Amino acid sequence: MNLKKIGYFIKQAFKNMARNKVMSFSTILTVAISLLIVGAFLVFIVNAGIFIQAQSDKTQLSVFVDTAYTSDQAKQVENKLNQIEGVDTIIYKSKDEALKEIIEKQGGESGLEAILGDENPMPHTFIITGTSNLELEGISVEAQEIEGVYKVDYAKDLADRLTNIVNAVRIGGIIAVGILFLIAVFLISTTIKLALYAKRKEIQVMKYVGSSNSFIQGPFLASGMLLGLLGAVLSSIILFIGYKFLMDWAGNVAFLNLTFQATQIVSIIVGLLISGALVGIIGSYLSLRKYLEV
Amino acid sequence: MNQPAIVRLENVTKVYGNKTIGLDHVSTNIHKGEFVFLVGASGAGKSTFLKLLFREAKPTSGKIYVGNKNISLLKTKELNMLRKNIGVVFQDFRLLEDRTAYENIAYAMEVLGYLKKDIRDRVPKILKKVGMQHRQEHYPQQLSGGEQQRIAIGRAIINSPKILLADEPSGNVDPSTAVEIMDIFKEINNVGTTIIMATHDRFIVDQLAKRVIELKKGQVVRDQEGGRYTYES
Ligand SMILES: Nc1ncnc2c1ncn2[C@@H]1O[C@H](COP(=O)(O)OP(=O)(O)O)[C@@H](O)[C@H]1O
Ligand SMILES: [Mg+2]
Repeated sequence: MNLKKIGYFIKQAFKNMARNKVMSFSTILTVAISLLIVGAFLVFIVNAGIFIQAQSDKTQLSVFVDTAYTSDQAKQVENKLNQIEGVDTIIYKSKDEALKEIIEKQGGESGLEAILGDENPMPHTFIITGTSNLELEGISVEAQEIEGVYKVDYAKDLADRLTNIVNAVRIGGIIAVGILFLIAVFLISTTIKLALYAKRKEIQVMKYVGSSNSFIQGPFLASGMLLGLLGAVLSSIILFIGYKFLMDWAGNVAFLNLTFQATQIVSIIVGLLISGALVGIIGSYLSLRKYLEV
Repeated sequence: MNQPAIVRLENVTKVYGNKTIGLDHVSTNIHKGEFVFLVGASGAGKSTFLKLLFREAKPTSGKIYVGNKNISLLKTKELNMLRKNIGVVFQDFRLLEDRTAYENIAYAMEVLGYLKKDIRDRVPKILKKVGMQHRQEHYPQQLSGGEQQRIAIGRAIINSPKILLADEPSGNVDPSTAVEIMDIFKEINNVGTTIIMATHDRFIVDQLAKRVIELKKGQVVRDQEGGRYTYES
């Protein structure tokens, strides 16, 4: 397999394409649409992951101590909490701080202060983060057992729900991507089938003069690859532009934590280009195997 | 006849899928440089004989040797090698309509991976050999049957095959053109190429007076040096 031969195949591939413009164009377009959906899906999965990670970082556990406990007693609870495996940091919030916080939140005019008088119904509170978010569940169970702990609030929260949604999308997406790939392969194999039919006389001559199989098949494999690759290039351009716009927008929405990341979009595009070429090669290989007994 | 045969058939039978008999227990030797006519009525098995030699078809039983190799056993690469050494000419020419005379001949070199330079050197020589140098830019539709057949012959010999098979090459041309076409074959034969030609052109067979193998219902009924189209005459 030398360069000259490959050059010949590619030249033939372009000729094949020029010979069958409409079919080639619609194949490229379909491949492009399929890969664009695949690419958009990848962008979603990757960024949803980043977003969830950012949310998860904030996940924490609130441990409320019995309201009757004094701050000294609360300190003892803290010691026990500290012994639980997986605990990373513990922030102590005293009764008074908690009350102050809630009064501030309600605003001065609520009259809460007057109603309560000297009473403080707020508990001492510990806010715990785990060495990893996975530890939180276990920590919450153990904290519950400690004497003087009145309630553990574990926001099995946003992060979990988001993860579930993304997982569902991921499974649906993988199925959709599989189907789209099949469609692209089928379309390319049909286009190559037509090219084979159009070139049946050439193929016959090649067989009669003893051309090697690679010489007979090469141009068609190159054709398929070219169609797949051009489809991938088209989808990559659209995806890049779309991604740029999306991230420019997302950059202005602080809580999303998403920014334009060149490595991210470049690796997705490289993936699309490789997929396009592969889809093309597989599609044409299927037709060659079926319609060309060499 | 000390030389080993370039083509040897041993008890070759070809039965087609629908039980039609193509060849029926045929054994024969053909030597290097021979010019052999296959004659017989339509359906006698002439085309089958030729198809078996370049493995367009495989025998149902019996063995076929070309250059001492049992061609039923060839692997793909060896099969390609066999076909490089066998040129084939058909009654219907089988030229590529969208290529000029020149390009049709060049194509047979191109798809074997020859260098452009070699192609440019060789094609004009072949065009000259088949007397078509003045029509090289014409497309098949612009050429007469005889001219198209010349191009087809040129294509078949472009890679200097050792054996040239021709299936009724004068079937689609008028008698005087047929004679000219035969002159080309004679010249090709004169430089040592073995020629096996199926025909039912009585005039040509009688005029050339070469070896004649007559087939009837797939069997060899006559094998005669310097033979005529029919036995009696
Ligand atoms: N591909 C085929 N399938 C079935 N029968 C065939 C095929 N080719 C030839 N035959 C039959 O084999 C016999 C010999 O045919 P062929 O070799 O073409 O004869 P010829 O060339 O002498 O006219 C005929 O009866 C023909 O119908
Ligand atoms: Mg015939």
